[in-house]
Amino acid sequence: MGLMSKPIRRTEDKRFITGKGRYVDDVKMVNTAVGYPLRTPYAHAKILSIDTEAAKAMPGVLDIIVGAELEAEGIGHLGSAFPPAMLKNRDGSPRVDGDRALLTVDYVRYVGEPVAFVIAESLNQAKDAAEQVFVDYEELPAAGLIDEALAPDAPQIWPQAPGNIALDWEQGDEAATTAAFAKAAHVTRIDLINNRVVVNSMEPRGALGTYDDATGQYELYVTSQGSHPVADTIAKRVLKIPPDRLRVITPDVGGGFGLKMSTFAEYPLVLIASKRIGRPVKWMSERTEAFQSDSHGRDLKSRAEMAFDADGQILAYRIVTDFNLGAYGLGFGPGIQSAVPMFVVGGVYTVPVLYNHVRAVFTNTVPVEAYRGAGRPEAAYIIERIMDLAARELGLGPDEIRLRNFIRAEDMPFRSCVGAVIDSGDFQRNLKDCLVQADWAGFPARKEQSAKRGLLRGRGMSYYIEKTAGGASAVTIAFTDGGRVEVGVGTSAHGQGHETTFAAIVADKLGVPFESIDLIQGDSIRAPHGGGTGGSRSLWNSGNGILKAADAVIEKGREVAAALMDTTTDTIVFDEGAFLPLLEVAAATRSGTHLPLELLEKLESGIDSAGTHDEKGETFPNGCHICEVEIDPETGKVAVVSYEVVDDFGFVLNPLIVAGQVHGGVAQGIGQALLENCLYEPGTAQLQTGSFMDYAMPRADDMPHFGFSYNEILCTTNPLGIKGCGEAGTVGAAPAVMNAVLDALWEKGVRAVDMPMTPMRVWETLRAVAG
Amino acid sequence: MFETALEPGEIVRQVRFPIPLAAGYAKFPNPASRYAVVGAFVARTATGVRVAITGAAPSVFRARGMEAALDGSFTPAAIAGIAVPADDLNSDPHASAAYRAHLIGVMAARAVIYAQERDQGEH
Repeated sequence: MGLMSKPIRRTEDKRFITGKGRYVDDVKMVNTAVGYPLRTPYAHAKILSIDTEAAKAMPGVLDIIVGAELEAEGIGHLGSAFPPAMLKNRDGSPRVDGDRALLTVDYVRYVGEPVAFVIAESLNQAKDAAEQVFVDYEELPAAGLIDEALAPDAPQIWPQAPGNIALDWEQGDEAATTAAFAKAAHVTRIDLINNRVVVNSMEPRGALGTYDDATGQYELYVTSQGSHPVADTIAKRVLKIPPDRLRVITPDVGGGFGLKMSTFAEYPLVLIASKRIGRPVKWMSERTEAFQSDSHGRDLKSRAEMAFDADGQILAYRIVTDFNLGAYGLGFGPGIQSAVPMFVVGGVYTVPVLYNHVRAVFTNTVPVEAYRGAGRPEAAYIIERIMDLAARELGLGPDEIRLRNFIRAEDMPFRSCVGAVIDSGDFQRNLKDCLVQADWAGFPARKEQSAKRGLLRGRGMSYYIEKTAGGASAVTIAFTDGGRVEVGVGTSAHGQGHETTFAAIVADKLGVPFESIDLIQGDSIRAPHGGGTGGSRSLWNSGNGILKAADAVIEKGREVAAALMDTTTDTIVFDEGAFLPLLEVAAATRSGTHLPLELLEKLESGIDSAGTHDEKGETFPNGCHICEVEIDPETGKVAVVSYEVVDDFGFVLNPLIVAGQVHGGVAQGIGQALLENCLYEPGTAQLQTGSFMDYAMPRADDMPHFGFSYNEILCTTNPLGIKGCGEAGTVGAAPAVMNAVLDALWEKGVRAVDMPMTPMRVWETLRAVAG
Repeated sequence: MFETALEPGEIVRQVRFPIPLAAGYAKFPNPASRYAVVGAFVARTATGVRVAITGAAPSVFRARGMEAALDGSFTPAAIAGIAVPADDLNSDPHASAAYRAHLIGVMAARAVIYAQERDQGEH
């Protein structure tokens, strides 16, 4: 066997790249009607009335749902994943999430918010009818930007949130931080904007709902990152039905990036619509809808200060951040810049004390939620930018300042000042390896070559750390009559290759053929309960869970084998190359022949077993990124010309898949740093970048070759020794790129740069310093 | 405006392009759509130099100041000092009118270089 640690190709890929994947839109049911949300064009308005009469008379229209009807029926609202007690204001008062009905009744609070749900025979008929729904709006002043919403005369989005502050949160020790700053030999300050991005999963959101009035059973096919969280939210919170009345199935999914972790209004709406018209109802988002209605990412402004002693050693760190929550606190939104990254704000350094003050700001924009890394890229961006600036001010190299302040390998496990316990890591080694890999020493010669071609060359470094783990998900291993092994997991792949990685673990552990393993995932009834896939923790959950379930299988299998061979269990040693293979043991158990009745009764379900990895102990993936850019000063165009990464993901189960995760993650970071920018118009909060014509997604030719290697420094707190790798590339990339851009422009007198460094912004920045 | 609009009963019978002695095109793409933020086409023909700019304004236009300068000397240096006013140029979040005005100079100069390289390649 020995599949673990081998770069085996993904079994999923053939169907994905030959058009044979089965996504929500590929699920066809007879007599399916189309659901289409009417989205408001107003950023902020009071709804005076909604008249659907004319629209209902349009050809092909089957029904139109408005919010008031749902209120009358007692349909519940959406909300945040954080219970009020879990995330409060610093004075102990509760935060404000706003109140999100599936279809808004009284006010619209962002462009694209759904006000009615049209059900028709065809999409075009539904769209035509939506145009005939008459909504009488009284337009209100709108604020889409953080500064606008914080202005003294800003429109109030929620009366219970004065000044549009949804959450006023802090961590750390303010007094001790202030005291440490007073003793500093040097203080570095930086103001940073982390630009808003649109998730843009290749497959947009979509859902197909059915209701069977004979059984009272609902079924929902949805593109999600986990069927159970969606099922739980809809059953408990929205429809208020017993969980077993609703089955949520997630087929193949074309990318999630955090977006598809949450439950959106359209998902319960197709179920409600199906019950009303007695037919399946499907809604599939178009790209234009996705720009308006998908939750967005990032969008924060920070001021950070770092206090140093005379030797360049960190004394204290202070951050003040305001982040754009959008019009509602939904899903993980309120926690993205507060609770989620709180254990990694201090990065990989020995920070004796810190204070982090974070405010969530309501605006008239679509809610902001998780986006690859979810708060951790933002935290890494701030500390890795300020460390670079501090190095310049202190006259140290970017490598030197980091080496001086790194938490040392010999101090692991290390308890940070904010309570994180980092189990393992060797930051010095990874950085030094990356210097070699990137030919750090050869940079001056390359810079000279670039200069000869009229180009400004810069290099940038970042050293990121993440915290991943948690959200226990169960694993089941079952043997079928047909000789196959069904592995059920509560995680849910949407591009990660779990069918391959999980099967490799099962095959290695149980000595069963890799090809005999079927992964059961994304099904709220058939798959074991779990929190889905997100936050780089599915291998931690399901991988370690498989070990537990497999151990249980082996224990039971030994008893069966002993009985079959008429000996005692203690004489049976499990060996993957055994002359009595496990599949034969399973078959014998299922048939029951030659086995004592008392053993069969004791085993109940044969050798089938379950396991859950629920031990404490997070993983701290970390690594060094070094990026080089060339800038054309005439046009302002930035080209990433080299990109090198040395990561520590603990044990690497499949190097091919891990490299793919890093490549994709870095591409998203480069995209944010140089291209992507979601803009709402000042004053009107109208979405200005509502299509790929205006929103710059990174393309293959924007990317360099990625150099990637890793040091396997095993995580000590989980049996596999793994650390999460799914978001790491994104966490490290943006600061490395921006440090490189600033390095290139520094000689021209530029001292500050903000994302995205588009060609025009580079040109304007250079023009400003040229005076 | 619309002097080329098709009238009833008319049909386009012929389109004639003079073959330039040398020509070059340089384009700066919009980072999102990759359409031209500014595109400059420079042609040296038997009857003189033409410089056409696309993307920068509501419609394509000729940079006549550059044409005159390039008639004198078909080199990037000849148009180095020629500024195109930003007043009537397009402006959007990707490219302000001032940035477009700047890019016209850069792209036109590059188009001249491409034309020169092409010119030399053929001799």
